[in-house]
Amino acid sequence: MKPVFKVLQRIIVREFYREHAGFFLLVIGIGFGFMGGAEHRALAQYFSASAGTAIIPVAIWIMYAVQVGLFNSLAITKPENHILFTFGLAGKLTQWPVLIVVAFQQFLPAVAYGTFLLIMAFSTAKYQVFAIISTGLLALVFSIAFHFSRLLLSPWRERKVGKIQEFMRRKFTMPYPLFYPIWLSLRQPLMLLGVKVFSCLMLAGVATLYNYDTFDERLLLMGCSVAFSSNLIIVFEYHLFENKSLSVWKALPMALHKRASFFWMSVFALLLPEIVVLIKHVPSSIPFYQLFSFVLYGLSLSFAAYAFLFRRQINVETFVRLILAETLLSIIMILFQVPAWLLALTACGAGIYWYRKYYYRFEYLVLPEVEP
Amino acid sequence: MIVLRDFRKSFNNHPVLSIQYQSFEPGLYWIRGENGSGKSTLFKCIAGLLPFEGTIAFDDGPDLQKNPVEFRKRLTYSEAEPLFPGFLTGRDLMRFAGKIRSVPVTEQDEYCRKLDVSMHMDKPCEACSSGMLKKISLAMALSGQPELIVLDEPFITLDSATRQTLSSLLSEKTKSGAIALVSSHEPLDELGIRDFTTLNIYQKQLI
Repeated sequence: MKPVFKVLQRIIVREFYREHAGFFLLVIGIGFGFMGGAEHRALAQYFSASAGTAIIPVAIWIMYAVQVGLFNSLAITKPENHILFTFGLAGKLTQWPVLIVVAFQQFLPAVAYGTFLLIMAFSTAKYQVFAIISTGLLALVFSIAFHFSRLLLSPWRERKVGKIQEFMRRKFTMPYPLFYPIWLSLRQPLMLLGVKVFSCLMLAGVATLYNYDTFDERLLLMGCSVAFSSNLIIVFEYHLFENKSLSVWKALPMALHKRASFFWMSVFALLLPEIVVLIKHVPSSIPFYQLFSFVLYGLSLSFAAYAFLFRRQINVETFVRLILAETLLSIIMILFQVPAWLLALTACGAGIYWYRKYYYRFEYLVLPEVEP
Repeated sequence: MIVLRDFRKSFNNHPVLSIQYQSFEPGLYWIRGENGSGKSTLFKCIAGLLPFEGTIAFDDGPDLQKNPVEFRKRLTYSEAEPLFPGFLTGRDLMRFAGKIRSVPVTEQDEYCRKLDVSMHMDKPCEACSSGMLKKISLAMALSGQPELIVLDEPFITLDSATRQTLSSLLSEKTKSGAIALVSSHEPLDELGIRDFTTLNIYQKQLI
């Protein structure tokens, strides 16, 4: 049993956390950075107040479980993981304990927070909430294990294309700026949702502070800096998409400015939620041209990060560390009254320099681990 | 004609290819070599996917390093195992590449028909077999008027009828003045191709 578990843990559990490291870092940043003990208790009390509010965390865990299922489906069909199919030959008594432990480990962050909610519900004698949360957690762990056992038996289900879908596909050709947003929403829905929720809440929250006190534009610019920096993980995925999933892209005859314009369009489409939140919640003391420079800063920052990735291949962990350093630096610069247009210009200038210098020199290597 | 001059390719300072001088006149070239000899690497360098040292240029001007866009306008490339985003259809990809390379839609469709892939062009790539993906990739590479066609293992995963079609299409293209570089583990004459030049990659060199 132990060797079987060890293989599954390495192929599935470890890889799951490695691939979602950026997302978990973001959650840890919010959970242990922005929120204190009092906020955590208040939120948990809200969730455990009634059966209706208890559904909210369960709904989030369902999305998390779907992401685990998507990851497992992809992981099991990778050629290097075909060894896992031998596991399907083992008896049910061997399979199930291992599958449940693996599912539990993948679901651990939800279980940990769920346990905290259970304690809160029990201490306030909300037994209905206790039952909903505990049942939800158990059902989801078993669902992940069950889904995995089904994958082992029939990994390549026939992919059928519906008549309507085929008709639409025939009538409309997908424009390139949508390639990446759709690819990302299918590949990393949880990460995309997490980033968008975080950055929109951050912008709306910072803008609301202007209702209670007098601040200059720097506070909102700092909020924008954090929100747009959190979106840089999306830029990392764009780079991956362009160099790995659509490798023929580089062989096409396109000038650099045209290639860059496709990136700007895709990123603009993905930053639309933040732009809408900014426009909707902008404090009256901040003029429109300043808001425009904030958005331009967000787009330029994304371009600079994208171009930076062509200097040399780095892994997501290194990239996240660089994002944190960049965010700190930009906040310091904002505190020293560096305006948004200057930050945008600097980011754009650096991006153009890196892009022109390194685009054709860059070599994407498919390696199991890339040293930073 | 295209010319490779002082061409060197290394991975982590480990040289894998070193070609002093090689020219390719219009015609079909069968690039042979053992597994790992560097055929795909050479093709990827010529297609502009991998950086290298030295010169790859058309004799009348465009140099891959100095004029990357002009060089790419004259070239098409098909990978040994094409990989496309699963949610895109063959038509999405074909139209996208066709628009960038200014290939008329009728001509794109004509190559899809010739390679017997028209029926599957509206399926997402994740629902296509490896043979279908190969055909889509080949249709993208053969359509238009490329002067240099680089095909890495074009015959693998294809059915025998499409192999015959591909052989005749390659002959047509090279007769009309194109240069086709093809790697294959199967002898080209056994695939019905008569007029070609064989080059071997041996000890990092093209002989």
